[in-house]
Amino acid sequence: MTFSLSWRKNRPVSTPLLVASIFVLVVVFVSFLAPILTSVDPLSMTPDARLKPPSYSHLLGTDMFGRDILARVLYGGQISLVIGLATAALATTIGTILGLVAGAGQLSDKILMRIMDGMMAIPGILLAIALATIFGGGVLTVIVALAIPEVPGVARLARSLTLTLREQVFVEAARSYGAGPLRVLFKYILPNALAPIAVQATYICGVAILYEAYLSFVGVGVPPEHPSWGNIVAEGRSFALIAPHMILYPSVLIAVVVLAINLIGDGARDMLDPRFTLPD
Amino acid sequence: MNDVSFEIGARETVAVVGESGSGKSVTALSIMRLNPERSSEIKGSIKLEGKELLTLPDAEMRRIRGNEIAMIFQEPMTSLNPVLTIGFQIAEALILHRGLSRSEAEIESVRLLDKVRIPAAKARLHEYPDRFSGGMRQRVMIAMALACQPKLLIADEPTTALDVTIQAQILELMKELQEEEGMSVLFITHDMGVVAEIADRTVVMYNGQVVEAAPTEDIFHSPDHPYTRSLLSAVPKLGSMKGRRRPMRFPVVDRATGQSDVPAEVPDTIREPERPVLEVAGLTKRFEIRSGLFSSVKGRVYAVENISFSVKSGETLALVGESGCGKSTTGRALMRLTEPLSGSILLDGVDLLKLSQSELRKQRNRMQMIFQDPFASLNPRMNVGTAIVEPLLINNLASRSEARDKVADLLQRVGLSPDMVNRFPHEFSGGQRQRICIARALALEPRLIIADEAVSALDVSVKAQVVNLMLDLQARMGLAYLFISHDMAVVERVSHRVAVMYLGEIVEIGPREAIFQNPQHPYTKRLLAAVPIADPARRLQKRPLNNDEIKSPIRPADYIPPVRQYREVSSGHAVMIWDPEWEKKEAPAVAARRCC
Repeated sequence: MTFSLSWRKNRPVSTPLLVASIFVLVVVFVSFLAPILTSVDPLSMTPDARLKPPSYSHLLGTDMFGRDILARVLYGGQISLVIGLATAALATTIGTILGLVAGAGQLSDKILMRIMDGMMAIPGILLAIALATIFGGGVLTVIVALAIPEVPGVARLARSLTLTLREQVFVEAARSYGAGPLRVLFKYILPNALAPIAVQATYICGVAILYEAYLSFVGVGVPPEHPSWGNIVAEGRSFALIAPHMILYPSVLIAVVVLAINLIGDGARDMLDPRFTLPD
Repeated sequence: MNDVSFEIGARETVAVVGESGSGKSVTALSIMRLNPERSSEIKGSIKLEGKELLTLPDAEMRRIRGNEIAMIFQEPMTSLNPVLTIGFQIAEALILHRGLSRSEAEIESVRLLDKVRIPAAKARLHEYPDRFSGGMRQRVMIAMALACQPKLLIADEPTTALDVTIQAQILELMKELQEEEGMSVLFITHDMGVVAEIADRTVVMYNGQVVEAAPTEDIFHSPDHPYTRSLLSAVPKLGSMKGRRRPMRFPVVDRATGQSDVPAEVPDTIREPERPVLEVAGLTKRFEIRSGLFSSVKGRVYAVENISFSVKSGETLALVGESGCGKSTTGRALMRLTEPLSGSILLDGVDLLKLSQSELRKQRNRMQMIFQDPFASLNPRMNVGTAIVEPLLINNLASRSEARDKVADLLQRVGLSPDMVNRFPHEFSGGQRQRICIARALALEPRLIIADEAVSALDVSVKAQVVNLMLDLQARMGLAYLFISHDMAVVERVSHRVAVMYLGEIVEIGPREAIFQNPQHPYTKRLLAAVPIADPARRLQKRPLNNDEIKSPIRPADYIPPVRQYREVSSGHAVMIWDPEWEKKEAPAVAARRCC
């Protein structure tokens, strides 16, 4: 078997990958440029203008406290995207380290992977809700609560990659010229395992944005003083019939951004998959 | 591929020969119209019995495939569906193409399996492909190809993945079947020896173009094109080393002019009086096969069984044998990449098996290994310069700046340019990659290099270059080689001494000349008789081959290996005293063809 996980040069980037990447980049820029794009404070309430539909002064309307939805959606994007990225980063880092250690040794494998199996037996969202409830509200808590259920999946992936790579001839060659176990793990195995793990990270990022909304929905998510797409929708659900614009924009954004991130993951996977080759 | 023209007469075998990337497989796929449609374009004309194939509608073409043109492929391991019995798979073709009923198809399947000489065909009909060896699977593939009595059989490297004795059987079978069935064969191969064995006419391809097409005898005796000449000169011929004691370089032929230099015997490199670099005694490696609820030992693979040999400085000892004979396991056990069960490995007098892991790492620097697949043995994420200095940095033998000079020196020594250091393995060709691997192995200035099938995966001309490089390095640096290979012709060219392995044991060991000119053990004789010879004139000698399969070294858990005894034939030439079972099987073969 030839084992190649490098980016294929000269391969055209597929259209969905390109469109999705540009879209996500635009969303990221717009969210983080919110203070420049709008001068409205997302937390300032105007009791006179509650549940107003979109108008010139409030482009996306207002919520039940008269807060500007455009400002909330923009600032909310910051929180949601940070949660997505941070969860992906945290889960893949921990998962990769655990997977490498498990793949490298027999005893560590048995212990670590049984713990991972145990964690996988608990539905991810329930575990996240339980963790978020125990640790109390806060952005950091939500990130940790969302990352922990994702760790076993990454660990399994990293472990299986380690097991495959460990048997590759170049690893054997490295051992034959004296490379110790740590060097083999970090200089020979890790760099070759990174690409598929990065693909996995994109999926986690998408899932985390979605789960953040779930957590808000059941009331254990990001506290209301930090608007996020999730808690905007959660707050707006009681008014869904009288003021549908309150939940429309953040819901659509969650859906489209998660879709785009998944498309990026798919595109990246296709480009990295050694079985997928374009004819010369 | 560009402007390729040839024709195949009825009952004729035409070989298309060329190195990788020469377009020979694309030619075959084009005839079948199996190229991916979007990315390829076929122009010109392909006619089967006067009928133009290129303009046929797809449905009609599907009928032609299988019915009139059949194809067999290189990998018998992957071309059968593992979840269906072979009987079902053959019958399917018969029902589909010839409209037989299921019971008729079954009878016909048995007839076909008989035809391809599968013993006990009827009983084996309902077995799954995993019960068949590679050679047997290739027979099944041939049976399937014959199912519809095609007019043309396209065989794409059908014997490349097979062991040499099995290859000889399959070639023989194909020759016989062609006579019986009266079909034409298009045989695609890279192996000039196979061409000489089987083809009436030969088409030589290079870079997508036909450089020469002529009757096989003419190609071999009076090649016109310089490329053909360079290809032929790079082909090692078994028996060509008769009367020479030392290894010999391959001639270097200029591709443009076809001019060849006269290869000389290499200088005497062996340091006789010194103590051998490597002394191996009683090396044994077994793998346990566990299964069942309590994973009890159900059997053992006797991969390497009590083997002993030594290699002197500047000497090349070749370890030859077929797949599963334990030659690669021996190499890995010597490096302690797999832990041997018992025995001793003395490297410069130090027993490697008694060392701790950290001591071993230091001591092992004096012995390095190069592997069969150079691409797989380089870290794809590491550039060439880093790859070559890794051994030095790991062992603290050089600072980073010293290492940089060293890389340049090493690259030059293996014939590469020092400005290639920043490139990655995928940017090199196969031969260049193997040179990089050799440079990496040389970085630690070893005394011994274990070359595990190091040139087997390379194209002939590249193979010749890498072998020449290895011989030059031996002359210059006094390297000792343990040259593990299945290719007898290359072995004859490069080695001073040869050890023949069979089922984990050395059955015969001695000076190269003694092994090749005066083989004693029946297995050595069989191995030598099976090597295809790149000389079409010798083809008519019919070889009496037995249809034995290669035996497996897996034994039951309670197996006790027999105590072996060796007989000294001449000085340094020892042969294992063989079991009587060899006698009755081998007697006719030996009488009919004393090797070379």
